[in-house]
Amino acid sequence: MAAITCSNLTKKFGKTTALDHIDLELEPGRIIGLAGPNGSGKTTLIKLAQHMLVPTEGEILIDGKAPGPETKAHLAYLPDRDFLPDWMKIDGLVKLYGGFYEDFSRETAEQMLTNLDIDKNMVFKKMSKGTREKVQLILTMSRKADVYLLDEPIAGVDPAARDYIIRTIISNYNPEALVLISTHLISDIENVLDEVIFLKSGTIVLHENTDDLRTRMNKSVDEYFREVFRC
Amino acid sequence: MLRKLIAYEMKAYGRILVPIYIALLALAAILGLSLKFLPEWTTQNVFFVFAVLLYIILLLSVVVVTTLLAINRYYGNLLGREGYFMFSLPVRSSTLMVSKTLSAMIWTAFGTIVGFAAVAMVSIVAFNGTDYIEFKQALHMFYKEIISPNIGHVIFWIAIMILVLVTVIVRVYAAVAIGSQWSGHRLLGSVLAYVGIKIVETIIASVISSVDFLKNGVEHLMWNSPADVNGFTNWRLQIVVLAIIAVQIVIYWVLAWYFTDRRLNLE
Repeated sequence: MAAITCSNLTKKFGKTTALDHIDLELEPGRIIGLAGPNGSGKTTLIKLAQHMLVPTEGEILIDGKAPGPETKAHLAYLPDRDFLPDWMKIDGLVKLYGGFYEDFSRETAEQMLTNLDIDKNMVFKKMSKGTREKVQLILTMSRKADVYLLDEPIAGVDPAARDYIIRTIISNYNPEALVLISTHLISDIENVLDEVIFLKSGTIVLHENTDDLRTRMNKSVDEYFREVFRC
Repeated sequence: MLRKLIAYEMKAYGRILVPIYIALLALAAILGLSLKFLPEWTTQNVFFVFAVLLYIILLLSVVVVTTLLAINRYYGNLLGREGYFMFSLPVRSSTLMVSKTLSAMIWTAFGTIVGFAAVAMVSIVAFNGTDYIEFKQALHMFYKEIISPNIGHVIFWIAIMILVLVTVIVRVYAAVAIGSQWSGHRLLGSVLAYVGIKIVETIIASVISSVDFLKNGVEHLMWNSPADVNGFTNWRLQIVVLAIIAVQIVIYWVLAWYFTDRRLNLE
C-alpha cells in the first residue's frame, strides 16, 4: 500500500489554486524530494497530509486512511518554522514531545543532543536559529514513524548545519518509512534522494527516480530544476 | 491524551499565574502583620499605602492575566506559531479545544479561590485569629440559615455560573477562530468577530426576554419565589434557563470547531 495517495487533490484559497487536481502515489522506503519555487504548493500538500488543511476537492490518504489522529500517530512532521513552546527548556521539550508519541525514542533524542553539545537546561528561545532548527529536527527524527514530512528542513541554516541536518535524516529515519523533504535547495540534498517531484503552480510537472532523471537528462537534478524553473 | 494536554496547559498557565498568586498571598500576610503590629500609624505610612496599592494591583492582575492567558492559549498557542505543534499531535481538534476550555475554567476557579483567600488572609493575620473564629461562626450560620434550606436554588445558580463561564470562554474561542481567517490583522479580525457575535446575541436575547413566560419565570428564579408561570414550576423553569445557556454553548462550540478544524488557517 502507498504511504501517501493523492487522488484529484485540489486546494483553493479564495480564487487562488494552490494545488490543482494532483494524482500521486508515494511508496514507503523511499526518500523523496518535493521541489518547487515559493508558492508552488509544497507546504500546502504537506499541510493537507497533516489535516492542517482540508481539501477543496479530491482526497489525500496516509497508509490508506484519511488524515486524522490515527495517521498523525505514525507521521512525523517538521514544519518550516519554529513550532515548539519557546519558554520551555530543552529537557522539558523532550518530555513534552515524547509524551505524545508512542514511537518516540528518548534515548535517541538525548544521544543526538549530547553529540551536538546542546545544553538540555537551556531555554528554547535563547538558542540561535540554527540550534533551534537542530533541536526540532532531533525531536522529529527521534520518532520511528511510517512517514516523515520535512518542510524546508535546510532553509535558513548555514552549510555546516545543512550537512548535519541531512546526515541526521539519513542516519535516523526508519528505513521502511517514506521521507518526503520539501525544498528548493536541491543541490544540498539531491544525492540522498531516491525520487524527486517538481511542483509548479500547484501541478506536478515531474515525478521521477533521481538516477533515471540524471541519466535521461545527462545533468544533475539541480541543473534540471534550474532549467525547469528558470525565471 | 486529554490528560497530557491539560497537564501541558497547567504548566503554561502556572508559570505565569503561580508567582502572582504567591506574591498576592505574601503581600496579604504582610498587610495583615502591618495592621496587627503597627495599628496606630500604618495608614499614614508610605510603605503601607504602597503595599495596599500593590495588593489591589495584584488582585486585579489575577483577573486580567487569567483572562488574557485564556485568550492567548487559543489565539497564540492553537492558532499561532505553536499551532503547528498542537495540530501535529495525534488528537482531534475537539480534544484540543476541550483541553483549552477545561484549563481556562480550572484557572478561573484557582484565581477566584486565591482572590478570596488573599482578602480573608489580611483579616485573619491582622486580628490574630479572634475574628477568624467569629468569621467561621458566621460562615456556619450562613450555611445553616441560607444555603441549607435553599440547596436546590444554590445548586441551580452554581450550575448557571459554570455554564455562563463556559459560554464566555467558547464565545471568545469562536471569535478568535473566525478572526484567524484573516491572513493579516488577525487580532483586529477577532475583536470585530467578537463584537459581531455580541450584537447578534444581544438581538436574540432581547427577543427571548420579551417572551412574558421567560421574563416572569427568570424573576421568580432570581428571588427564589414559588413560580407558577403558565403551569411551569421552579424546576421546570430552571431547566428551560439552563437549556437556553446550553444551546448558546453548543452554537459557539460548533462555530469555534468549524473554523478551527475545517477552516484552519495557521499563521
